Amino acid sequence: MTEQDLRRIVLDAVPPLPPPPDRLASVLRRARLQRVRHASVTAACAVTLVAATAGLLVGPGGTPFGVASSGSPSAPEPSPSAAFPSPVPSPLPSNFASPVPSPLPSSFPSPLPSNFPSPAVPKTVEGRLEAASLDALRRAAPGASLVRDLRFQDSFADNGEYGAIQLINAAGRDGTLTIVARRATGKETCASEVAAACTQSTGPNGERVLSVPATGDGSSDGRPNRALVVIVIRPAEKLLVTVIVDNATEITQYPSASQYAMESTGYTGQLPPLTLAQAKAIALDVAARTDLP
Amino acid sequence: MAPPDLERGFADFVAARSDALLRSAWLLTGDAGRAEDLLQTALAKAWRRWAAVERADSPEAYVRRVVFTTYVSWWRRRWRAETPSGELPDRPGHGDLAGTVAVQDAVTRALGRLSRRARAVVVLRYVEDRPVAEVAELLGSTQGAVKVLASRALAELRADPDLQSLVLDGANA
Repeated sequence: MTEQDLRRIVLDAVPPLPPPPDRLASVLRRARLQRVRHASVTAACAVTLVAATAGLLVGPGGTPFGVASSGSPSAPEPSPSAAFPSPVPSPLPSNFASPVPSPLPSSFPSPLPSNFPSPAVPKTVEGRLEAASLDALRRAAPGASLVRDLRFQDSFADNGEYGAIQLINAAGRDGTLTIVARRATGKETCASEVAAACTQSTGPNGERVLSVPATGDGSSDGRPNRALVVIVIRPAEKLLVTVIVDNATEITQYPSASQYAMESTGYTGQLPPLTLAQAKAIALDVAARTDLP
Repeated sequence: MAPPDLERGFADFVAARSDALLRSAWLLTGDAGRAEDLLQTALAKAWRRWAAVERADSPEAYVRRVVFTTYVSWWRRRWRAETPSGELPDRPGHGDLAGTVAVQDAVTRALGRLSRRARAVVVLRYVEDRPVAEVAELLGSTQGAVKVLASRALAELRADPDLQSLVLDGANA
């Protein structure tokens, strides 16, 4: 097969792609959403920083995990090339096993109550997901520690998807933890979700659990990524939670206010830091406590 | 509110270049819905900087770069798992429909077996016929890495039995 053959075959395969009724309007709507989101996040960050500087932040010292319980951003945007392990301690430690109280307490008198809800029940979806995820992680892997906040972001997708990515250390191994929750049809199966070797089982409350062990995408200097992927579906609630643990030690792209993308690299070639059972426990726990709008 | 001229220029660009960009997006994603999603994501990003993009030598090159970098950075989307419909877009109701669908299926499966970065390289290098230097620049990689990736991907595609049969069919037609 020559390169010309390949080009001909591939181009011949492209089907007619009818445009949507108003692509321009859709694009402008997306851009507007991103801009609104960006503006609100910037404002929330500014308020947080001003409050912190003025000594207005009061409270018990944060959640047991040292993470501000609000779903709104509680830290400056993470460095897109944050290496792990970082030689510099995080200004906002999120090590949930850390005995050191968080420098950013989880509640304070605020003119923006919706952005800074009480630590008990975060009012935002992002906050509830973060709290549920950290709790699930603490229970499933008590010795694990995150490098920074596990901050959930809205994907702006039609399926109400929220996701977070963070570097994690557990059992002496480094890697990346990704948790994503979204609305689903409730009919998702191994066949519909993943092409790789996938095992389907049933959770304690009737959840459908799809597990894909020891697989991954990409490599770094010949060191492959090894990932565990667990998808939990609650058919009745039409909810799907995905937990991914892999051996990537650098996050090159976080979900942000302006775009939703998660990318990591720096694969160690080792097993991921959590086991399949731990990933499954986290996914089940988060799914049990998640209620998407 | 964006100046009317700016929005008009962007609207003209969307109308004129979307089809070509959508074709690339389809080759990357293998799915019409995801291709449209990828294109719109890239266009929305471009619109936020359109005043500068429009003044550039080639606004299309900028948007195309956003399409490819967004695609590569979407690698986790496989696991986020948009539910595939299992249906390929319709062709006009004449000709060999089954054969056409089979070709699309074979090509998307063969490309789907490549890594996302390799697939992007194949589309840019072999389908769009872009020079190695441009591919490397578009993907933020080195020329050497692109050459290696392109060579390996081509070898994989050459060994793909589905594509081999398509080549033979083409030669016999």
